[in-house]
Amino acid sequence: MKLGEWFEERFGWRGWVQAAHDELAKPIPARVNWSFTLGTAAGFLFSVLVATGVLLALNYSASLSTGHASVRDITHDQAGGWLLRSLHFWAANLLVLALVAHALRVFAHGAYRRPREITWILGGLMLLTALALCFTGDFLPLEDVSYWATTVVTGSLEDVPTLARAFRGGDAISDATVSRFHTAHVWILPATMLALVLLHLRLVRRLGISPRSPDEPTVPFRSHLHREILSLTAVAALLVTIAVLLPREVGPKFDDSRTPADVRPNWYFLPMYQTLKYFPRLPGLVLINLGALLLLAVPFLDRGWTRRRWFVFAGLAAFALVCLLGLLGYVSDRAFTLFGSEIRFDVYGIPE
Amino acid sequence: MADEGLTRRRLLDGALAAACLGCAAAAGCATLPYLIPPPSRRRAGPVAVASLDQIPLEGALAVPFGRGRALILRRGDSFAAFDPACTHARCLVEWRPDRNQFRCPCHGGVFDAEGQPVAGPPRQPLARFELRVRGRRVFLE
Repeated sequence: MKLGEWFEERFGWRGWVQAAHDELAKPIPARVNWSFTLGTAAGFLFSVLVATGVLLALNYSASLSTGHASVRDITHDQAGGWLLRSLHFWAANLLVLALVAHALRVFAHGAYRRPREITWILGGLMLLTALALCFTGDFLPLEDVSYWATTVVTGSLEDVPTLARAFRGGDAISDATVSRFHTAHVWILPATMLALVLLHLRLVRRLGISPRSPDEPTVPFRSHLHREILSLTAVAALLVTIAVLLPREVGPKFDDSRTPADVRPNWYFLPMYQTLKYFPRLPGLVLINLGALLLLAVPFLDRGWTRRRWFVFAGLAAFALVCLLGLLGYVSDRAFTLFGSEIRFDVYGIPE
Repeated sequence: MADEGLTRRRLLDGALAAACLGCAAAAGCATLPYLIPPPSRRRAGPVAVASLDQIPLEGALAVPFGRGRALILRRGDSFAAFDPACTHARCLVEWRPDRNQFRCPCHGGVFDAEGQPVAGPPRQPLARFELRVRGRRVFLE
């Protein structure tokens, strides 16, 4: 018996090849363009995160006393460790960017409407899971800023004491916190993300890459494949270039006796950071969660074509507000020199 | 499809599904409390944390206390001890002698010398510890 036949009898691989051919022949709207490759780019970045994350986890020590030193060893002593860490860091940043851009594209096209509501919700949950992965991952190097950023976030939950203690594993940040964040970052959240990705892909396969009217011209998916491959190549090249040119350094180890003067989170959390300045703890948290709920509820808020223009306007205004909050968070409590004159911003981002 | 009513097979399927759901719910209920650490029963104090000479005359001294820290403020002959964790998001406040205020570096919360919030997002005053001076030593409870 030939080898191919031997495997065919056991795996039925010819059926898989045929299924792949059928997928490539599936009709998609002829208007599908480059912006439709963002989802695949996000999937690629997630797979880079998994691959680099597994390798980083091999040398990371999940403890308050040794965590920072192990990250320093990975970065400075392990061969290629700096590149792995840099790739992991930048892939996470690009993943958030790709997911946001993907969501904006779907929003602008109104591609979340019936029957694609669940596809949108799964995408929104993926964005939230990616942010949770960033949050837990930012903490693990146990740098000064990440330690205090985690203190802030878990401290913001103090109005629900059980929740704050469950997150931290105690009354304050301790080894239990590192264990919990490490487990969430390495096991729970990636598994959740993988499940969401698989469900999302299943729905995209079932409902098509984009809504299509019956009389719309179509092309086979095969004709879009070259865009996907080129897009992935470009994203991979961009990632490696940034990771090499802007390697992720190891910040100073945390000092739990003194909060540093500038506790500012990474760019993706700046809008939340700034929101917490304008509102007391509980209303601030409620607002942030309301924002996340609104994002997930988009398909149920857009009730028809007649109000579509207003809905898109409201959505883009909300996105602009988030960006503005991020910008205010970036400039707040800092001084910048612009055209020779110094401008100082107060904690609310208002020029003094 | 014709309605066959309640058959033995359907009854067994339903009972099996209910049993599976019950097991999943029981496992969930058993797991949730596991995630919440038991409350700390340890009560700190009275503990000698500093001597009077260590505390600046019109200033503050941060000392380890219990599982966290305490900030002892001295203004002339009067002393007060605060939990330095900001009541907004638990960053550690710092004493600003030039303004007679505590300031939080994270979200710009400001507290007066009594620990009362005066600016920024905090709404609750800083928590205070009981302070006693015996001889030249400062005790916190």
